[in-house]
Amino acid sequence: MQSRSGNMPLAIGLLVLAAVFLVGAVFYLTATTSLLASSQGHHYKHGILALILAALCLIGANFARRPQP
Amino acid sequence: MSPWLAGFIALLQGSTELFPVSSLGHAVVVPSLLHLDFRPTAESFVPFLVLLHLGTAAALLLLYREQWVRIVGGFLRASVRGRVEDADERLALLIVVGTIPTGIVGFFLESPLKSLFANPRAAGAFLVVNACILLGAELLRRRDERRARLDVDSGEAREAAYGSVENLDVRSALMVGACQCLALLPGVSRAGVTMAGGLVAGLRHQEAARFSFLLATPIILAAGVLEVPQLFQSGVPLGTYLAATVLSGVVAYLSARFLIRYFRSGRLDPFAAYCAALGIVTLALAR
Repeated sequence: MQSRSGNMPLAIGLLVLAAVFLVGAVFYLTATTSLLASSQGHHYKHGILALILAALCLIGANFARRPQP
Repeated sequence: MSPWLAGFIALLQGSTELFPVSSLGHAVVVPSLLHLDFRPTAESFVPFLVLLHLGTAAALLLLYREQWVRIVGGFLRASVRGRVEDADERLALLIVVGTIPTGIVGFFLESPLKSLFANPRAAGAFLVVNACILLGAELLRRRDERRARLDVDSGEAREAAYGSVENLDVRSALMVGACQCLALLPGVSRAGVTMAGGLVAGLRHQEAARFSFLLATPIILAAGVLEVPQLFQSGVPLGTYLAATVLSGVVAYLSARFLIRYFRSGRLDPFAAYCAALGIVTLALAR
């Protein structure tokens, strides 16, 4: 699947995933929830993890769109 | 917690964190065996341990400071460029890939895993499991050495036949990172399972230890940044805890220097024997 322009389907998938994690980060940092958490409340740690995962997905997408040696 | 007890736990943590013998297992098992007034179920237990881990992370950053400058630079360059072009960038990529599995698994299983901290017998059983992992990795390495007809009597010559971290492929780094997830169980050593994974992936003992130490640093720092705020909420004696952190860091630094020298030709066997013995004693004596 790799070409001169890299693996574009993977890059797009990672971009979509990054967007999902970004939305999750905003959700966890601003809303009170018990989703994927042990108790109801603000879960800033979940938000930070989601932000880190979003950043990693963006970096992964950048790798995927470039042709690798 | 008294200053003496905090100092004792710091010494214990600092000396066992980088040795492949499970610092968390020791923090659960030793107070139980010695009947110390230290409850692993206390609200401040995990933040206190994480604070001690920050001492270890600081020691590792100090020890590998030049490498970390190159790794961070390499990570930033490779991230922007979208391509890996030199050894530093490659090492940065391997560390990121190796860190992801534990970061995710540890985050979502934090609460159920904390319940195991109250159970010294579980930690004792996992210490025996840790011994089996270390022995298993060494058995596989010995079999490989026999097949390659290496001179097993000369440690340094034998080690020269194996690779360095920079030669590791991404899949192997991911495998070592996945091994690290096991260390979330008290009694299974993070250093031990990552070194065992590194050996299986074909690294020299010393390189497996270096990769283990490099992998430890970001995850410990991240855990510290996330957990330490809880310490400020629980009204703990921060001065004592910070002194304990410094003590833990100094001991961890000395431990790392010793291990790097030891693994030039040494194996994991003595640590496996120690873990098996401590695990069996714990299973027999702990309540």
